[in-house]
Amino acid sequence: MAARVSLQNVRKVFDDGSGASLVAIDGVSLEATRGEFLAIVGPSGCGKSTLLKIIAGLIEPTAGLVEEDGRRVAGPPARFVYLFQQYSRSLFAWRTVLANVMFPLEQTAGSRADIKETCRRFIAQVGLAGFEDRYPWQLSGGMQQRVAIARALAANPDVLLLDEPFSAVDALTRMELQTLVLELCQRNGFTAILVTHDVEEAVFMADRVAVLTQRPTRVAEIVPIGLPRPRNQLTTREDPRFLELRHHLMTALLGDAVDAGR
Amino acid sequence: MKDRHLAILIGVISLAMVTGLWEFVSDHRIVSPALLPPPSSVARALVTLIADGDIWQQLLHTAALFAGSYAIACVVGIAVGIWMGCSEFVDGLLQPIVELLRPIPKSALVPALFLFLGIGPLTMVTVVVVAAVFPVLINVYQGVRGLDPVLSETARTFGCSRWRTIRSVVLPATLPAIFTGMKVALSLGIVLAVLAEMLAGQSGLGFIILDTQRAFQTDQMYAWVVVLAAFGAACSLLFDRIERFAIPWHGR
Amino acid sequence: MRQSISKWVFGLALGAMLGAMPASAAEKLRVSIIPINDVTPLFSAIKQGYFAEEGLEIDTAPSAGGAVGIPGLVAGSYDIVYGNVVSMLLAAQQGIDIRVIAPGTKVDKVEDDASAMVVRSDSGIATGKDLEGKNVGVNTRNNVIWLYARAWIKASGGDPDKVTYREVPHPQLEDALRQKQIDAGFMVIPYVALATAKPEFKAIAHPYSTVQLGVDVGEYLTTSKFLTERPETAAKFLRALRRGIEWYNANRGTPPLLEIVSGFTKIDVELLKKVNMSASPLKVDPPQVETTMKLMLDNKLLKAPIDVKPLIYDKAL
Repeated sequence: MAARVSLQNVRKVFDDGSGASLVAIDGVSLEATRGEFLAIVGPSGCGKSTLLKIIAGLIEPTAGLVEEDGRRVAGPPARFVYLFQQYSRSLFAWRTVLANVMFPLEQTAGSRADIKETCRRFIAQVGLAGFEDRYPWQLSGGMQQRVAIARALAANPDVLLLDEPFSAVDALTRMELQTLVLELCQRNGFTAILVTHDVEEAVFMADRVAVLTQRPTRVAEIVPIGLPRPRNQLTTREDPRFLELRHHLMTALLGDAVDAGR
Repeated sequence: MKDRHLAILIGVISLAMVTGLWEFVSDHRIVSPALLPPPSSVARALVTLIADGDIWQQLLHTAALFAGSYAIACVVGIAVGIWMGCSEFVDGLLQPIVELLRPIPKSALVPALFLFLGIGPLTMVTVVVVAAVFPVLINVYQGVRGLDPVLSETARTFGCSRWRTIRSVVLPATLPAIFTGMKVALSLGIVLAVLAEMLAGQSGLGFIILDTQRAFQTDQMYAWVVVLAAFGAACSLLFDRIERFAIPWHGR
Repeated sequence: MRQSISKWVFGLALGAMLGAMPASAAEKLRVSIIPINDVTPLFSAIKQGYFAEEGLEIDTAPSAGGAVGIPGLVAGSYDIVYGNVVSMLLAAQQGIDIRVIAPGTKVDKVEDDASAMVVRSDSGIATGKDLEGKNVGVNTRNNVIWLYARAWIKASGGDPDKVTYREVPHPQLEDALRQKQIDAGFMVIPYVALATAKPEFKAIAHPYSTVQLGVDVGEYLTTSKFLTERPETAAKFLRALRRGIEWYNANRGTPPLLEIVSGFTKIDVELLKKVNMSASPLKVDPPQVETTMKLMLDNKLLKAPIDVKPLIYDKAL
């Protein structure tokens, strides 16, 4: 299902160890409506991943509020699943693909046979049918990320939080995975928040793109992406509107970087 | 020739050369054969003690002492290591004791242990356990503390309870560290078992090595040393087999 | 720069010449000893200057027993080792180049046999049979103490193979017995006297005189290489030691001698006053060594008989 996620004035201050404090995030307010695909882009070091972890409940904000359907988030909400950039480290090396995907369901009621069946379906959904008994080390990077996605599906989330999930795979695999995620979002209706440094990816996948500033990070602007769905790797990317949006966002980012350099 | 075969061949040749040199030095009395008997007489002594069946009583004693104590040390080391790794309170409590005892070479503690606990099987077991427990404990502790934060955050994002995280994530993720600790404890445990037998045993490889030395039966002494070396090597190989079976994903 | 180098060279050459000049060239001998009364004559000879008069300087180092000292002799760490007859014969059998250079200790008279099998008074142990299944402390295994302990156990009705022999150095036997780490200890002078003076311990037997009266228990050992390469030194050593033995025999029980014993055993002089010290022999006794050799054969310690006479320095006979 889907949930509405909202951030109100989220602030994160880090103590850099020597007593001085570092303001990483200086008041970010954002919203992702039910079933919306929101992308977040920004210059490197602007704390995109930190922000996403705050949304996921893995890090506590210094100030401000994260809400799920109007309820305050404190600690990882049951219906939020965070997908790691370092997917191979997040998979359980000692478990088979099937066992990895079964992990979120093992703490629920239900016979083991039923759980296995359900997980096989998720594995098929991500295109890994037949690989259930392999171990993560036997799979390529792209396949490992699919396992992570299948495992996330098994947790039956309302909100999917993706932290640069495709940055560590090759271009073709990246496109396959982008298409896969969009299909799953379409079919299951999740709310999705994607953090990426790849502007084209943001435009390709999202309904709206939030641009963050340099540290101390704020929201610079929010750009609606009015491209038709379902998105297509070939045709959507050649759409003149796609190129305009890309141009706009690149300018915003590069300008921001140039500004920061002054 | 395949690389692996070549490596084995080189190993065999260098071993043969060393043995040849040993035989030469001993036969030509460059070193007194009373101190260093030629490999041929050591081999003969070895064959005798296998043929007469003497080998089993001593070997079984050392093997039993080592195996039992090692098992206890591993269980204790793993349990305490995990407990210290997961609980700040227990860590704070036990850390000073561990840090105090760890740097002491355990062979130095042996005379003190014999004084306090007397001479008997209980003391021998204690000696080996005390020596073997530390490498296991410390490796397990560091394995738990060094758990990849990505794994712990994965457990959190899936809403795992503390107990479930320890059972399903921390434990399997720490298995490589557990095996590393157990590997170090293996050689250390054998050394101390033999030492304890030398100091206060009635039988076993340590005892018989010392006894043959006292009677200046150096060819037999070296034969028993060979038995000890073979025992150590066999334990090591067996351990590696088990490790490869238990954690097939490690190092991939 | 050149000038200072040549000064250095000149200085070194001068120093080397001065160093090479024989000032008081005392010949050094490294002797391994066991801290028991057997070596009191050696220390007496050192103290009375007999060795210095022969131009010898004796450097002593303690060990737990001949079984430990002999490997040091073979390895060249010691020139002379005080050891026991059994270890000597075992070494000879294994082809180790060992010789007896001087006599050590002998048990000639029953009343002089102070060394004893000592037990805790309340243990109820009286014979070798009582020791079956129990622990006996010996300084090392496979030596004279061990052999005669076994022989006595057998003679008093026990099976020596049913007894466990634990290695405990002589100075620690009393403590080990008190702490029940051993049930009996074969102790020698002076430790035996100190232990049996206490009511908690008692001596139940004197294995040496019971099994073989007249036994040559310990001797000073060296290598045949030493005897052939340094014959004068060997003769000097024996001469000075014999003067020490005579002095010892004449001065037993006197304060100067007790001071000497206290020096190398670290035992209080007051306690040593109660110790009865037996006389030391001036000669090695080959027939006694042969008897020991036969006992070793019977106990399967030796594979074949050994010709004893050639092992003994002729001057020591």
